Amino acid sequence: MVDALTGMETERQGSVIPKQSPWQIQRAVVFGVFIREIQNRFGRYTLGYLWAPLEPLVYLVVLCAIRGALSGALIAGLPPAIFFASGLLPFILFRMIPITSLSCVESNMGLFNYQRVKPADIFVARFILECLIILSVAVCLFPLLGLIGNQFELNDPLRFFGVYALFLMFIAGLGLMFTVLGPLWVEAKKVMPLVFRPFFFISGIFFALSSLPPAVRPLLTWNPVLHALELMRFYAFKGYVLASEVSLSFLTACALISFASGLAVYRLFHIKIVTSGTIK
Amino acid sequence: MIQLQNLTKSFQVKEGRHYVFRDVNLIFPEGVNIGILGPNGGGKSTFMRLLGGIDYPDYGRIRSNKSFSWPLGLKGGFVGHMTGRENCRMICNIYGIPREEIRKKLDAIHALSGIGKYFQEPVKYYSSGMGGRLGFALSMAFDFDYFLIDEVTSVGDANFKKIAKEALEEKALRSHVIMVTHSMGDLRRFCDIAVLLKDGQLTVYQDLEAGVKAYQDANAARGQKK
Repeated sequence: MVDALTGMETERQGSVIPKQSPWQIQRAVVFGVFIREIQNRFGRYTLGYLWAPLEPLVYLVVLCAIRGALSGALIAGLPPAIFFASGLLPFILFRMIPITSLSCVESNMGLFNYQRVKPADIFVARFILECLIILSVAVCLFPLLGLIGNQFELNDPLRFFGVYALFLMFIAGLGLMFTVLGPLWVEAKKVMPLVFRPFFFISGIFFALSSLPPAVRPLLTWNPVLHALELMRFYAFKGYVLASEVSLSFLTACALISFASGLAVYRLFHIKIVTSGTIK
Repeated sequence: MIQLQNLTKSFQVKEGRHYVFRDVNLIFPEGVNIGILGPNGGGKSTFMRLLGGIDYPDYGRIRSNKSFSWPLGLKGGFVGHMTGRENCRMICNIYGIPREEIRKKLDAIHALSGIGKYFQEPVKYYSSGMGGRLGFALSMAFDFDYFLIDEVTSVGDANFKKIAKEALEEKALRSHVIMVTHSMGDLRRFCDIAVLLKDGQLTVYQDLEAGVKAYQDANAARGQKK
């Protein structure tokens, strides 16, 4: 069997441990790296895992406090706390995953000492970890918000998960591209956080598109994250007022383009980013 | 079989391109322990990384139907803030070892490494000798055809060298070593043939002593040039 990528013959039968299929190998590596990433994120702190919800909670409290001071009314048909939380949690994925992907290669150089570990494994492990963190925060947070008096009713969970999957696909594509970009362009670590910051204000975290005047909406609708957040809210909660500009097909197109480009870029550069002597 | 075909590897440096290997064609003999000799910066470690499949040549290729360990070097390979035990568990996970077996392997690694209670301490507090011992013990938990040993033995004390030698002899039926060393003592202790890496080319010496002599001559020539 010749490895098509490296030209290296990898016919290594009866060697190492039980012979494994590529899928088994990938799973084993991602699992191993995943455990490491958990320890990396939380292992060093007392109360480790309890820090995960800290960031979203701080944002949520601040936003609710500001909003509460202004008015207690519903936002586009949802209680403010529910509205903010449903925008913040997915947005954190969009901000965290691409930015942390920039350092996938650099911060794991030691692991590439093991032939099986490839940059994509580290990306996948981090991606799963971030998704699990946000998912577990969501599972705890929304019932809690419901208990303290924010009434909501689920609308269409199945379609919600469909949109969520598209959103994750969009992010995964960006993440894969950034996994490659990180080692190729060192300054990306400085530039990209600046590029991502404005999205906090234009992605519909603290306003609903339907609450803006129709004239200014086209200024914002180029942003796929806005579409994703709006659609997720609409399918998750009954009574949410969806602006007519929000388009599922636009989000789908963005997700597919992003994911395909991510795979293509990774495929092109995955050897180069771990080869010595090509990049500093 | 290990065959090098037009193997070429270079590094971009300020003064142009530095070739470590240039169109190397070679077939290594089977079933022997190979010692790699060469000056500092001569590409020995790069060669080990190429063999281990963690670095890639400019062009050309290495053909082999054998399995190779990761290069056992003095740096890298462990995550500093994790303990020796956690590191070993992670690498067993990466190599897909079933849960029940991992526990047994961890005990074996602990015993062979001889680092005692430091097994439960973060690797960043290890001395280079301890790191080398742990790395060696870890790799011995796997059945590779070739163990790539990059100067690890040079940091070990006499006791460790003895243990390493015994561990390798136990595996000698199926496993061999390819090792980089500057110590002629280690070379004679572990290796059957020598390979000299010089000026971008590899030369195989079936007779160990001939290899040692060629290496010492090359060193002497370099000394005189300065």
